[in-house]
Amino acid sequence: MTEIVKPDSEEQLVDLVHWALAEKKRLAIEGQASNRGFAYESSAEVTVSMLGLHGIIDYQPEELVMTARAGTSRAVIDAALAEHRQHLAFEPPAFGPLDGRDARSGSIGGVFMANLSGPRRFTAGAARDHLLGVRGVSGRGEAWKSGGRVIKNVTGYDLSKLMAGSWGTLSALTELTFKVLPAPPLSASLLLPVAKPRSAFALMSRLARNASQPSGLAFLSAPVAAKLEAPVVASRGENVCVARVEGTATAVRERVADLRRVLRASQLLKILDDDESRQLWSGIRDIRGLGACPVIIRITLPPFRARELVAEWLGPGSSNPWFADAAGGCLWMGVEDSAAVAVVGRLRRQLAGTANVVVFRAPDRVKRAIGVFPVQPAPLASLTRRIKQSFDPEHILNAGRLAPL
Amino acid sequence: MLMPAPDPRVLARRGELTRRLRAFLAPEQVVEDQTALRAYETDGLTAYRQRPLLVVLPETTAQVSSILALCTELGVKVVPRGAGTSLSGGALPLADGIVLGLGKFNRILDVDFDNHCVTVQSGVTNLAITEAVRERGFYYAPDPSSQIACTIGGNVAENAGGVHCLKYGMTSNNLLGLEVVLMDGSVLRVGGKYMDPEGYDLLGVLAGSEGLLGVVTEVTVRILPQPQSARALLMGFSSNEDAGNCVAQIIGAGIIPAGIEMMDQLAIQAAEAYCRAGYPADCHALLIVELDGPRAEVDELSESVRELGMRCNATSIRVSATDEERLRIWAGRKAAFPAMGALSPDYYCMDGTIPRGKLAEVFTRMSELSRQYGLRVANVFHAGDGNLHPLILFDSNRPGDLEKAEAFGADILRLCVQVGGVLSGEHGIGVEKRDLMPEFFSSTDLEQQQRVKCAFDPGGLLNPGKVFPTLHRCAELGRLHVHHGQLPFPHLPRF
Repeated sequence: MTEIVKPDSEEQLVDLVHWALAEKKRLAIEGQASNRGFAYESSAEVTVSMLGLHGIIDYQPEELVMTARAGTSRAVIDAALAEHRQHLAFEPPAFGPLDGRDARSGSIGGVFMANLSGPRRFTAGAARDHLLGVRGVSGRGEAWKSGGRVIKNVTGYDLSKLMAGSWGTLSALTELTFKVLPAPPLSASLLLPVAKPRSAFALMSRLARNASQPSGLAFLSAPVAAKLEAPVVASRGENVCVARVEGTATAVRERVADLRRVLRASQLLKILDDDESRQLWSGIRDIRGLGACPVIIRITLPPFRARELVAEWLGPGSSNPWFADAAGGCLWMGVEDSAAVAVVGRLRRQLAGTANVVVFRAPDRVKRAIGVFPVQPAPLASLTRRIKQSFDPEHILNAGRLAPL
Repeated sequence: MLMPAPDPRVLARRGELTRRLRAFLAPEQVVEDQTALRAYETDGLTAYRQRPLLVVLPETTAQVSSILALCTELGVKVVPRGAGTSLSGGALPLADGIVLGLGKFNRILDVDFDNHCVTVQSGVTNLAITEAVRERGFYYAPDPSSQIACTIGGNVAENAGGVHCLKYGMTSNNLLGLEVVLMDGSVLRVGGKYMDPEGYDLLGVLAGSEGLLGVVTEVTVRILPQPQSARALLMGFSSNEDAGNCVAQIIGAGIIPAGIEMMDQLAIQAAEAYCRAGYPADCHALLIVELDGPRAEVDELSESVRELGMRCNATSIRVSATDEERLRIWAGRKAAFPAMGALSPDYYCMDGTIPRGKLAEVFTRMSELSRQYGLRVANVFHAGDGNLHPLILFDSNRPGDLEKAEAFGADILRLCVQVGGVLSGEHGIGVEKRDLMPEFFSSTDLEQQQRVKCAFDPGGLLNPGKVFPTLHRCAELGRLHVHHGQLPFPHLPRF
C-alpha cells in the first residue's frame, strides 16, 4: 500500500518533488484514477493525488478557451461548458464503466495526459489538438509553463503537445488551458446495413467526403452492436454502419438529405433522432460494446489498410468482437486472454511502421508479455529516452507507467 | 542583433568542409562562390543579412543525413532553409555555418485519396499540395499568405497558419507524419498515414520548432474535402470597438466561421488604392466573415451573421451571392501587404496574438504608440483567432527610421503579452523576437525548452542564435541540484 499525498498548491508540489529527489522516492501522479486500468501500473512508493488542485480558473465562452487546474473533475468542466452550450469537441471517452467506475469519472488532467479522444477525432482532432497551454512541475522539481491562452501561438516550442499523451511521465501538470467550442444543438444518425465488413471501409471513406461532413462514421459488427445500450441497434443482430451529422435543425435536415442523395434506398435502414443518436454514440465513444472482453486492442491505421486487415483477420469464422470508428481509421478489437499475445504480436509485425497497435486493456501478465505499446525503432527510442531525461532525469514521475520496471 | 560569434576554427576549415562535401555531392550541390552565396544571405526579414560559409543543396534524405553527420564531426553549424519566406529571420545564415537548402526536395510522393492524405518532400510548396488534389474535390487547409512560395517543410518549422485556423487549425493540427534527420545524421520517421502515433507527441513539438530540432525531409498531411459552398460577408463599422464587439457576438452565438478578418482604416484605404476592392470608403473598420459548409446551413448562418452585424451598428453589409463576389471581397484583404507599398517606401510586418476581447484596448494603445514614435501603423487582424498583423510604415532611407520601427514593433509585442497574449501567432520567434522571449517566459521555462533542444541536438549546432536569447551548454542545463537528506517531508495532508 503506497502513501497518498495531496498537495493543494504548485509550491507544495515543487517541495514534494525536491523531497522525492533527495530521498530517492518515486511518485505516482493520479487524478481520479479513471485511467488506472490502462498502460502499466505505476510502481511508485508515494501516490500524489492531484485532486487538491481543482477548480476552473478562467472561462470566457466568447474566447473559446478555458483554464482549469489539473484535478478538476470532468463533471464540473462539462457542466460549466453546457451552461454556455459549449463542449470539448474531441469528445473525450469515459472508460470508467469498463472498470466498474462511474461513467463521468475522470479529471481534466487525466483526459489530456492519456490523450483520450472520441468518435469526432477524425474531423475535430484529438485531445492534443485542443491543448493550448500548461503549467506543471518537472521531475527536476521546477515549475514551468508553456503555450498560452490563445489559439494561434508559435512562441517557443509547443511543449503542451509533448505533455498530451505523456501519462504524467514528464511533468505533473497543475494547470491546463484548452480550446472549447460551441456544441452542436442537434444530431441525427443514419443506420446503414453492411453485410460484408470489408465494404464498410469504402462506404465510410465515400461518406467522409460527402457534403454533409459527417462528424461520426463507425462500423459495428453484429456482436458489438448487440451489446450497446442502444435498443435500435442492439436488437437487429446484424452488422451496421452509422453516419452521424450535427448542427442546427436546418443543418441536420440538409446534411441528412445530402447523405441520402448518395445512398440507394436499400442502403438505409433507419434514421436515428437526436436522443437515439446521442445514446448510440456515447456507447461507441466509451467502447461499451467490448465491455466484457478481457483484452481490448486499439489499432489506429489508414482506413484502407484496415479494410485489408479486416478481410484477413475478422472475416467469417472469426469470433473476435470488433468495431471501426473514426471513418475506419481506428479499430477496436476484443481478444481472448489466451490468444492475446499471439494476436498482438502478429498484428504488430504485419503493420510495423504503418499503424499503432496498443493493448488498451489486459491483465498485467498479458501486458508485460506483449507490451502495451509497440517497441520503437532504435533512433526514436533513444530520442524518447533523452526527452524523458530532460524533464525527469531521476525517473521519479509515474515510474513504470509507460514501460514496466 | 547579436548572433553567436563566428568560430575562427570553423572558418579556417572551410576548404576541408567543401572537399568532404564534394566527395558525396555533385559540384552544383555545393555553392561556395561569394556572388552565388549572396542569394542566400537573407530571408523574408530583409533587415538582417549574413553571407553563409557555404550553401549545400541535397537531393536525398541520405545526403541530408551525411551532411549533418559531417557537420557534427567538424563542429559546423547548420541553418535549414525552405523557400526563405520567413518573416522572423528563421533562415538567417551564420558566417561560420552552412545553409542547408531544401529546394531540391520538390517531389509529391503519394496522393492517397482513399485515406485522405498526401505525402510530399519538404521543399514542395504549400499551394502545390492543394493543386495536386483539387480536381478530386480536396484541399490542404492551412493557407499562409505566402502559400504560393513557402514550402511545407517551412510551414512545419513555423507551425504556419493562415486565415482559416479557427475552424481548420494550424499546420500541426493537419500533420500526420514526418521524416526528420537529426543533427547526428540519424533518420527518424514520426507518425505516418494514421492517427495517434506511438510515444511522446514528437509531431507536436517539431511543429513550430523553427528548424532548431531537426531537418524535415518528408511530410504527410491530411487533406479535406472542399466544402460544398462558401459565402463571405463584408461589413463596415464606424469604430474598431464595434467591429471587435461584432466578432465576439458571432462567436458567442455559437458560430465558427471559416475565417474572420478585420482591417483598420489605413489598411482599408491602402487596399482600395491598390486594387479597387470596392470596400466601403467611409468606414473605420472592416470585417470579412466567411462561412462554409452545406448550402442551406451557410445561408442560415450568413443571415444570422448579417443580423448580428446590424445589431453591432454595422454601417454597411454586403453578402456575396456568387463565388466571384466572394473572391472579390477577399481580394483587397489578400493584397493588404503589397498595398502598403503604395503608402510607404517600407513596412515592417509584426505578428502577435491577443485574446479577442482585448482588441479595442490594444488598438487604442497602438494608436498612442504610433503618435509617440511618429510612425503610421495599419492593421490586418485574423480576428477569429486573435492573431494581429500590425504593419508599421517607415522609410529605411531616413536615418533612424528602421530602428524606430523595430522599437515600435517590440512595444506592440510587449503590449500583446501584457493583455494575456503571446509574442507570435504564426511567424515564429526567429532572430526577430528572440530577445523578447523573457517578456513571456521565465528563465526556468526557457531552460526547460532548451533541455528539449538538447535532447534533439546536444551539440547546439542546428540553427543556433534563433528563438533563445541566451545560449547554454547542454551539460550545464542537465545538471540536477539535489539536496540530499536536507529536506523534510513536505507538510501535506496524507491519507
